[in-house]
Amino acid sequence: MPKRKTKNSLLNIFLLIVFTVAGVILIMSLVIAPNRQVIKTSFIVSDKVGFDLNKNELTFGSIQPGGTSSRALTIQNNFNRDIIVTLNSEGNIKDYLTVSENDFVLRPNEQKNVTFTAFSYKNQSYGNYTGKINIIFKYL
Amino acid sequence: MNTIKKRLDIWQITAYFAIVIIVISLLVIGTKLTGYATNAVVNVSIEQRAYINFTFDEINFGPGNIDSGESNATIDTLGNVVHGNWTPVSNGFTIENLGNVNVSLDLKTDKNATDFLGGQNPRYQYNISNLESESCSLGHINLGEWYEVNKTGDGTRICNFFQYTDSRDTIRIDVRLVIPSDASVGIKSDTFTATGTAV
Repeated sequence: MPKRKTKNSLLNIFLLIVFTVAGVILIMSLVIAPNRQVIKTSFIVSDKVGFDLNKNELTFGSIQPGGTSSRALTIQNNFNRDIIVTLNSEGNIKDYLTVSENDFVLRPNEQKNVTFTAFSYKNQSYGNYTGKINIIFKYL
Repeated sequence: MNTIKKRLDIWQITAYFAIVIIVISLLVIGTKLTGYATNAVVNVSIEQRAYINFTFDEINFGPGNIDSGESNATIDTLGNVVHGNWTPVSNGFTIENLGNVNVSLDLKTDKNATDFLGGQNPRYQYNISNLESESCSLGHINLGEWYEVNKTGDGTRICNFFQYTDSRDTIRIDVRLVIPSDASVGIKSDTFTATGTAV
């Protein structure tokens, strides 16, 4: 009889853990970032100035050492609640990118322009710099 | 005994239900993180315009002086040096349309002639030419002529159609300075901004 009682207690603990995990994950699924979008990005450092106005990727074209190139994104919140937008980049381009604004709140139906600027140093070697920009949305 | 078993069965059914919730929740989280299901609620669009800065000191005339008795000297990036001893420079800026859309092109500087050189009647001019024929057309200027730089707004529309076709997509910008004898001394530098907008 005490053996059965121990078994039941263990089962109850197991079930309690299962319920807790289920509850936490359910809450996370409702609260966690509702979306993420990824945009490819690139620029070239060379002796020429060049434009590349690709509408599907954030291509900055070609800049000379010491030069910059800027392009803007428009982000619109079509959720029916406030979101916070976080922008980050990855790849070998990330050390040469700045953004005009980050970690900002968008109200429902609000939109914002953010400008990314690719830059190079005076002594930078010629070459291609590529990567991705992650646009992450979370409920506020 | 039966009551205990029934209670356990209920707990077990609830546990299975909880596991189903976990699986569904994880799927929801995964979908959100990959962005497949909810893209429609946030729009991200890329503006079809770029601003590219390049600096005048990429064209380096080096040190020089105005010839004795002259009121000014003229130097340009076509290799001309008049009334001065600067080293001739024959490379201007090259701008290429690397993309797959035609663009309009505006050009501005941060400084005008007075800001840049100082003195009496300075001139700070640019000249646009097609490095590849028919690359640039229908701007507010004539190709091959000298114009004073423009530091207001986006500057001057130099091409209404700057083509992207490979053999017709490159222009050259040359610069000419008329340096008065009373110009301010020192190392000069300025920034050009070319604004390309898809058309």
